Amino acid sequence: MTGKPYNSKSGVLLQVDNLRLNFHTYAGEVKALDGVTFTVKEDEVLGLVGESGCGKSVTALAIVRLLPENAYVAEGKILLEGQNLLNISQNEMRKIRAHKIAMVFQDPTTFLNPVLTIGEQLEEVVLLTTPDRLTRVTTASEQSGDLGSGNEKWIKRREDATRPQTSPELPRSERKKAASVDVLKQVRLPDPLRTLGQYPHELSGGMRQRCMIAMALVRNPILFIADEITTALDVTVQAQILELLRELKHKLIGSTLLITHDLGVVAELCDRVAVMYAGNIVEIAEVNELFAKPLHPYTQGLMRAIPIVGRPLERLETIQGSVPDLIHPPSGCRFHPRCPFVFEKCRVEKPQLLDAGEEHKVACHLYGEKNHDANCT
Amino acid sequence: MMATRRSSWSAVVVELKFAGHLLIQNKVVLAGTIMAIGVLVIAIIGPVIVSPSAATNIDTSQRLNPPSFQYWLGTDDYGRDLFKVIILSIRLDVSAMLEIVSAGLFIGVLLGAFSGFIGGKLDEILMRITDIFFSIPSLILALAIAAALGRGINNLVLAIIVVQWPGYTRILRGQVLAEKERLYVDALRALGIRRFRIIIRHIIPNTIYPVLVQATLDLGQVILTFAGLSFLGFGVSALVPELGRLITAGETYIFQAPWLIAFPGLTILIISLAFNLMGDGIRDILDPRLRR
Amino acid sequence: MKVWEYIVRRLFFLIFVLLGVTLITFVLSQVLLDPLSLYMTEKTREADIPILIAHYHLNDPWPIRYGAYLWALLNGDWGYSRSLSQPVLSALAARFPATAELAIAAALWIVAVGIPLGIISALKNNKLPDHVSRLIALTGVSTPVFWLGLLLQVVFFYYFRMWGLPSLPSSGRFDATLALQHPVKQITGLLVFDSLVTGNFIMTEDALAHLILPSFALGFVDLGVIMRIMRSSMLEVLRQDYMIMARSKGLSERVVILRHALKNALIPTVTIGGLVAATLLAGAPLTETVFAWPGMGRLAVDAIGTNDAPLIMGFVLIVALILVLINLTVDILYAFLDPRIKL
Repeated sequence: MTGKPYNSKSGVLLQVDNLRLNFHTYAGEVKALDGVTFTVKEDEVLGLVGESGCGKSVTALAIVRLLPENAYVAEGKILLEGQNLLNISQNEMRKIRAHKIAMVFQDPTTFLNPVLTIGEQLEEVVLLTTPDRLTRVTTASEQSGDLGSGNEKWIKRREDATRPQTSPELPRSERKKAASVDVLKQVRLPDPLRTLGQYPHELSGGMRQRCMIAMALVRNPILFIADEITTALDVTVQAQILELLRELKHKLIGSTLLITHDLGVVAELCDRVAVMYAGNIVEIAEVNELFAKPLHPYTQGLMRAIPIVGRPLERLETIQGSVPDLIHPPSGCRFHPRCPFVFEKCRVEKPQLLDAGEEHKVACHLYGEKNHDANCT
Repeated sequence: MMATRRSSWSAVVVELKFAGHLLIQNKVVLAGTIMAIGVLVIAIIGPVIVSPSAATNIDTSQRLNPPSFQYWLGTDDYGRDLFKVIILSIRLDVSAMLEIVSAGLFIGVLLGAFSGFIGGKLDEILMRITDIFFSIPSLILALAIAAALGRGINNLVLAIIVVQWPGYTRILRGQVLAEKERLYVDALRALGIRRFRIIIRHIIPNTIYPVLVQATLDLGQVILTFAGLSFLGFGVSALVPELGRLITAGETYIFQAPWLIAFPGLTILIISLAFNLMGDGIRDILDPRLRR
Repeated sequence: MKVWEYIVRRLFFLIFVLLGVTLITFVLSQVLLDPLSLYMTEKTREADIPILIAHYHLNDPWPIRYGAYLWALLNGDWGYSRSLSQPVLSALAARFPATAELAIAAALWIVAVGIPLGIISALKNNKLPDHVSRLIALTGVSTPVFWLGLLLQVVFFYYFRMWGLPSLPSSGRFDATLALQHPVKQITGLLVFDSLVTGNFIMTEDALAHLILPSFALGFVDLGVIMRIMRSSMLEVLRQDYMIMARSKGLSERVVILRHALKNALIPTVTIGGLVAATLLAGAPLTETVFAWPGMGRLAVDAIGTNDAPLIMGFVLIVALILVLINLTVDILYAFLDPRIKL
């Protein structure tokens, strides 16, 4: 959609450009992503919100190129620091996954290997990481204060590990262990050493999720993708994890792509928000702006549906209708069957994502005529 | 059987497409079924198209002829036309195979159904017995039983039946344990219908499918066991046309007349393969439905 | 200590099963057949018979008879084989290493060929290697092992020789004349191992050459089965979420498969190890007969010809014993492979 070349000064880390992605199934072609466009800037937290099935996870998996075999990209680009991830080789992509993009998934039970210990699963990531990143982890750990389990041996080893000059002498296993312990401390696990030797099924859901986050942190990624990481957890644990994320937001991570269906989470953590519906980005805005002035009818519906504590309600507001069939999606704007403001043009022509204010873009014909700027970042 | 739910047409279409995909893999299964039917046909009409005297026509002038236009598969040590003898022996092996599996099925199903339904001490004991049977490979146990019973084809068949039934009992019992919890069983008992009737008329028909699948798969195994034990000397006597025994006879001339071993063995393979394929296919088709 | 509980429970079960097997052999030897024949030797005279009867309680009620039978078994008295003029147990024990060597070699074929092929089938799901493996598996299960053995001999021994190719021996375990010239020191009874370890390489080569065909024939049936099981468990594992996680870490494909997938996929395969052992032992009589291999199976088969029932029963017992031990090992292995068992 945009012919703008990558400008390092513009502070854009990830640029997803008109991504069209389909799935081959026996029932037909599922048009999961229909021209998804958004950016993640350096050092920001972008929220990606939408209902289940709108394509958020698919987008995330598309970025790291871990989609199942029956998925294929029909069109579009995914630019990370200017490089199109869809064009690079498997090997290069693997390097990107190891060093640049880290992803944490929704269900810590099924996403951790049951026959390997936490230590083993953490250390294999550490092995791939470069020493300077590891140092960053240990430094952060130092900065956060107390050294936890009070194990003298490990304190000494950790100190050795932080001295870059001695790293060649120190056996890799020691550095590995030290970094692992440190990162587990960073995610507030009470007894990191013990946890390293445990198997996933021996830990609680919250602890497992922290371990997964640790596996992401230790890589010092420039992009951290969190795919509904609190959805499978209790509310109290959710709160803890969110707290953790808020703390770590800028310490060990560059930018975060936070995928969720929970607007509350968005409000807590995000700098900007992108709202997604049926494979399209329908609105992107700075977080306060979005909550204050939601423009797209879908976003408005979402906002209305949030019950406000303290204010008595007679009924919960819903958005009428249901999520469309992506094998035979609606024509024109995919939201039109459910839109209270629908008119002729909506059924025919798909709205483009256009500027509608300061850092605020919307894809809706209600606002289409105002701004025909070709810039879509 | 399983509660059939009305499904909408579009879902049916999707299912059909999926079944169609299975069918592509099932080209092989189809081939197997056709082969199996062919085998059965030969077993039935064998003695009609090939005169049974072919088995007793000893013509020592024609000993050990290699395959030729006159003798398609060659002749054996007695001068018999191997092709004809094989056709005749198919009947024996196939009928033994069917006898064994049906008898084993009959015993196994009855025992499993009653044991599972009535439960209690009897059930416990029966399960322990089947455990013991499972701990010895069936060929070896059948060998021992046949040795204890004595020579003769009836004893051989009996020996293999004894080894076959525990498998069916286990499967069926498992199904029955689940089935007897269903509501209609309580209803029938409330009506005062005797357990015997319930088991025979309701329980067994509803639980028998997995066992039937297993039985079809077993056909391929049983013929190997039967032929194997015949090869070792059990079962029929020397001149009676039977595939395993033909190989025993042919072993003496293994290097001079390899066709004597090759063709009977190939026949066993084909029969076993045919029923294995058919059983595989039946399982593939029935299994997803069974699980639902 | 749950692991130990589990193992002890399995042990009790297996002992019970063993007892059950002795019951079966008891019924077969003493009920269906003449009980005296189990213990009579060629030297027994008329006068000795009452002594035998008294010693084994052959005229007492069944439970006592069974008790005496069991007691004798535990004391190593498994009956007497008149055809071999030897006590049954020592006859079987003498032939045990030969069968063990054959079975181990067959198992090696299965593990070395079946497991990798199964993995490849899973990785290349529904492409050519997968179809080929399916065919091999299906053919393997349908092949009469004795016929396969004979065919292998015809091709690799007879025809290869005819065509001037290096051929494999068709029968026996080793070349008798060669063995006289280079006697092998008995350590384990496994020829290949013993000769290798003692530097007797000529015999190693000879023993190996004799081992190849029979072990392949024996293993061929289960090769396909293991291949398919490995394939389906691998496919199952590859679909799991933790595989996506592993890839998202940027690990190389090799590490992902070998470290994350394999360990999980091997678990179901190991658990049917017991079953495989059973099939191998079942195939032993036929294979050993066809290859004139001096093992226990052939002993049992020869016993059929000489109507030596005690030997056959003894064979059943020893097979059951071996299987019990193997199943116990598999159970222990399984408990260690799958950490979830610990809880």
